[in-house]
Amino acid sequence: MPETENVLTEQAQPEEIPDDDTLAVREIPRRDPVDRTGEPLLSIRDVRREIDGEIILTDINFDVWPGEIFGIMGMSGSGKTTLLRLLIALDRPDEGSVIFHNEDIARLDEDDLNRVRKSMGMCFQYSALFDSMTVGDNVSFSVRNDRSMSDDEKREKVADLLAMVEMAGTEHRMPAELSGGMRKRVSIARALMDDPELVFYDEPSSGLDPVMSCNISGLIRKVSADTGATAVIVSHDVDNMLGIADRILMLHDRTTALIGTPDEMRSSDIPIIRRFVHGLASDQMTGRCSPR
Amino acid sequence: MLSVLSALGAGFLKGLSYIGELSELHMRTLIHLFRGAVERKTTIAQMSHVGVSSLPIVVVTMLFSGMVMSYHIADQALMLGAGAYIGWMVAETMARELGPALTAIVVAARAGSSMAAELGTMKVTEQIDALRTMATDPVQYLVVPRYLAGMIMVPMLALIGGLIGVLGGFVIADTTAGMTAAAYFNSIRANLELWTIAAGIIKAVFFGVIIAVIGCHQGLYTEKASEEVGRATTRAVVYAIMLIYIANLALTMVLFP
Ligand SMILES: Nc1ncnc2c1ncn2[C@@H]1O[C@H](COP(=O)(O)OP(=O)(O)OP(=O)(O)O)[C@@H](O)[C@H]1O
Ligand SMILES: [Mg+2]
Repeated sequence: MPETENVLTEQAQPEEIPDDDTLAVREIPRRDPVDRTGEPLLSIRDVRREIDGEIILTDINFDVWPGEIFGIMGMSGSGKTTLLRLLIALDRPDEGSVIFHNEDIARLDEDDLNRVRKSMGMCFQYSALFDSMTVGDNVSFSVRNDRSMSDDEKREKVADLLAMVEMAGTEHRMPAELSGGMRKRVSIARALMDDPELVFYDEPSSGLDPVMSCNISGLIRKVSADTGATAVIVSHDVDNMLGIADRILMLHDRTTALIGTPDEMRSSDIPIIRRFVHGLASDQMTGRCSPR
Repeated sequence: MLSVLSALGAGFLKGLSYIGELSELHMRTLIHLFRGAVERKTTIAQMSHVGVSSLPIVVVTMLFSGMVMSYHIADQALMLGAGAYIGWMVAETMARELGPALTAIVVAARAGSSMAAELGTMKVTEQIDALRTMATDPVQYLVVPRYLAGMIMVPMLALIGGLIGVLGGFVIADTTAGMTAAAYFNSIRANLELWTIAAGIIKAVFFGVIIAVIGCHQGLYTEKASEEVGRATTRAVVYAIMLIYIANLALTMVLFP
């Protein structure tokens, strides 16, 4: 366990203030700046996706560099999940390419994809836990046939990951016995089990309380700092996103409205981004939320 | 008239593409099998699931079928003076026909439907997608174990069912025709050929494959809406039973020329 974690648990130890750990908003770990001079890990080129003849995404272009935390924002229904499914090749684009490690994964067959997917992890918007398996079996699923790890090592790693998402000791429970937010956290642990190089998070903090959602953001940042893993996060939790992402892509009107750093997002004068970042309601809807 | 024709044509094409999908799924299952990519734990779990869930209803069905059949046969046989053959006639029908076919229909209703429901739910809740993101082929992980379970358990259930049917037949032959156990079972031993039993088992293997492939296909191809799971489940049973009837006729003609 890294040092920051130890400090936190030591602070939480006095019996008088047992809730200290859960109440304290975690400090977001520092990371080295991302090096964008080399080859990108993931390159999206001219991607277009239609579903039932309707264009959902078009002209999508961006690169994600190793170690980067890349955010994808957009209104509900703007195609964020659709884009994520293309990035992990669950669906294929109608046009364009998705290049991972210099290989166009949009053109690979399922056997080759399974090779590529070993270095990816995905946390689904609605968790997608296997409901016939215990939490422990869910988390260790990706290494179930891995002979390079002993059963004890697997159990230990599962316990560590569950502790990291604050679900320690839930190995034997079934997904049906968990709340939505708990399932979400288990699914994050599951996505991290096989030490992925690239992790996709679809709305990792939706359905979580503000403290937990902040903890999850910290966790994502910590995983990136500890393992150097690259993260692609879809979220409309603007505050958290601006806090942890290195760069953010804003999807609007089926395509990219802007790709930029959190500061560039804050200072952008593109209307949709202003509305998003400064928390203003769109014209069609009544009322106006308090600006941030 | 024209619309009837075009509807028929469309139905025919749909049927063809359905057969195509089934064959493709079957091929992919066989490829994994020949590669030896079998998940032992889930396969054993599926086998016990299919066996345990279907056994009670198979037993009840076959027991009563054997009794009813024996009742009819005893009546006729006594009239024709062939009373000594009652046991054999019951056993022969059980081995050739009722054992495999009736068992398969019961298993289709019981286990085939649950395969479709389980996989359909997994599809709708993105669990199948989750499998794929964890570098696991759903066919290898989900279909292969169910395929093996169908292929192995349906013949076993058919064998047990046939035996139960013969015993049921004896109870009736004993009570209504006053048949002794020795006479009943000796007529079986003297006349029933081993090949007949083997042919029935071969049929059951095919039926097991049909149940598993159709059940899994309906599940994997469920559209993403929860009411679709129910429809897929019903279809799995109906299609499997239809295909079992057709295969039964074809296999009977091949195995008993
Ligand atoms: N299987 C599908 N069939 C038809 N339309 C679809 C399908 N999947 C997505 N869509 C459409 O694609 C668009 C984008 O959907 P998507 O789920 O990617 O949105 P999202 O940005 O993830 O939204 P949210 O923030 O609510 O999760 C929507 O308009 C949706 O109607
Ligand atoms: Mg979504």
